[in-house]
Amino acid sequence: MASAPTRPAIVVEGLQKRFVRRGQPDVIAVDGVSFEVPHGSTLGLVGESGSGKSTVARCLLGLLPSDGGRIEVGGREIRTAAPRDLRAWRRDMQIVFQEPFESLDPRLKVAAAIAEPLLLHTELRSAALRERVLELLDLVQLKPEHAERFPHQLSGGQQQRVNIARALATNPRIVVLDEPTSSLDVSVRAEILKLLMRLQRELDLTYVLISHDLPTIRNVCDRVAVMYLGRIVEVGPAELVLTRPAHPYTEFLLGSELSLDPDVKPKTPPVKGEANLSERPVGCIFARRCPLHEAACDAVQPPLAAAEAGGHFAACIHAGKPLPGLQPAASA
Amino acid sequence: MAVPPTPDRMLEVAGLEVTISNRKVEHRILRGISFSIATGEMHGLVGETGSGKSMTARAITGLLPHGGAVTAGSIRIAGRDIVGLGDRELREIRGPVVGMIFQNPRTALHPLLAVEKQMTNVIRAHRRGTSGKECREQVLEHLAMVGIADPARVARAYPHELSGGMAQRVVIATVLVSRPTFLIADEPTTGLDATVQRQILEEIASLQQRLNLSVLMITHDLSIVAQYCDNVSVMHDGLIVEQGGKREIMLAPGHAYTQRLIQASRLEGIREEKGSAA
Repeated sequence: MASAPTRPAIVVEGLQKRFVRRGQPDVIAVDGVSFEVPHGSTLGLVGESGSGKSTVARCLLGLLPSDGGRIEVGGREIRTAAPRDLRAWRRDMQIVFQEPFESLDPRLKVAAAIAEPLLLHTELRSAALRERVLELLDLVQLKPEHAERFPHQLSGGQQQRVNIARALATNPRIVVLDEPTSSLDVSVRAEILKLLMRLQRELDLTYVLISHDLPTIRNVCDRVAVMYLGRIVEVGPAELVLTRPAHPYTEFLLGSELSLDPDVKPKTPPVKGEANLSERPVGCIFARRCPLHEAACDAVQPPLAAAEAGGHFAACIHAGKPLPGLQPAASA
Repeated sequence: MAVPPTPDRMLEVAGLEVTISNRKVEHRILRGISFSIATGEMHGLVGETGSGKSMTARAITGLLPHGGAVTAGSIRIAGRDIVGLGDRELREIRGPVVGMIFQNPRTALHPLLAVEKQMTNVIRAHRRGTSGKECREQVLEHLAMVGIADPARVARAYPHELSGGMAQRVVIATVLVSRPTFLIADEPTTGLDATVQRQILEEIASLQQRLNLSVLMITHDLSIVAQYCDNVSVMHDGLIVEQGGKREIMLAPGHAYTQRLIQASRLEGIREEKGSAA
């Protein structure tokens, strides 16, 4: 961690993914998405249903074929690589899903579940395999006796720890976390996030965290990319994007976060309307719902442009200027 | 029914115990809880999985699961004790007095019926003989009431054609056609996107004001309580461990469990665990 490697762990450029539907127009799920994730850091992909954040993650892992662009992981272009060349890359890159129970085979005991990726990707067998399984259990703060339990005998938090142990079994360098805590109780959420942060520090992991939970994003991410209808509308260091949002959509998204302090009221009024994937306007995709909408917004899709120094970009013709339309909501 | 109703209390739960028994084992799911909701109040019932908050809602609506029974205490809705009432009497309360909204709006909607048809069914179940024209007017009126900009289009739609937020609005509109004065919302926005959650909560708060509804808001999310409720009861392990005004609970929690819950909600200590990343 002392000297940062020159090349980022992940480079994605101009990623495209469309879903073909019979008798209906294609759904453009990912439309020219580009981002980089430096080694050992966490990129948060934030967005709502239909924003394309999970599709990006699936393309990144090769779980879905993408239609265009470049994906470079650890210096190798993998989007167009042959399947047999991808085995090593699969070992390097793992995912933890949202539903801890559904991610586990109900008939496999914990030990067998964690051994599965080891049998697939390593030469470890019998005693050595057993030892590695126990080591992984310890890594995720489970006890040796958990090895003999079935998934239904574990709490949601313990199940998610098993999923994390499985993901880490092959010593990956990159882990995609797809809403890892959204189905867990509040107190468990905090514990799992702490565990993930410790593992990142100890194992020098690179994370791509997909989440719609703003408190999680705020506490975990180094950089944040905000997605809306398949595009990144804003990206930059977390402390800049989350404190000085430059895109009106980001402002509404952050404004919808409810404070735990009854005296702190939401900063923005609720945004009007809903995102609609079947709409692909020529201009800005958020224009229809945007209070700052003007004729120029409909002319061309605004590219990501610097909103301020420090690598903070936003795809809005108003980016970098103060947003006049969004007054802080007067406290009731 | 000897005790006269206290008109300013929509709900009064006193010493409520619920036990679920299957064959040999008996589980005391609710272990004597008491709380009340004033007319026009939004009351938050907060807790984690297994705390008993949803079982409380089921007891209040007389919808306990098989094997479940109220073993002690009383539940008064608008002054009337509903414990021990039969199905027929409960049906006079569910709908016309108490409306219910649940977490997944799509499970509350019939997948094969257009919105207008299912809302019409509800109207006619409560007011038999309502004319077609009148039903249609009421459907459109109630869809507009919950902030749907294009009621005629939504009335023609089937549930799978609606987004999650729109489906929840339709459920709320459907609940409102039987003109309840008391709304039970069990995790109504869990699973919805942040901006949609905000829209739906604003809508419920606005309806509460306009129709002077009493609302029982069941949630695991303390920020919803902080922003929208008047009072709150914190549940843990079948008991209410703390109760009070939302400012007092959120800003100066007295019980250790409430303190832990607020701390966990703030995600305290995670930045520290992160250390210095690359």
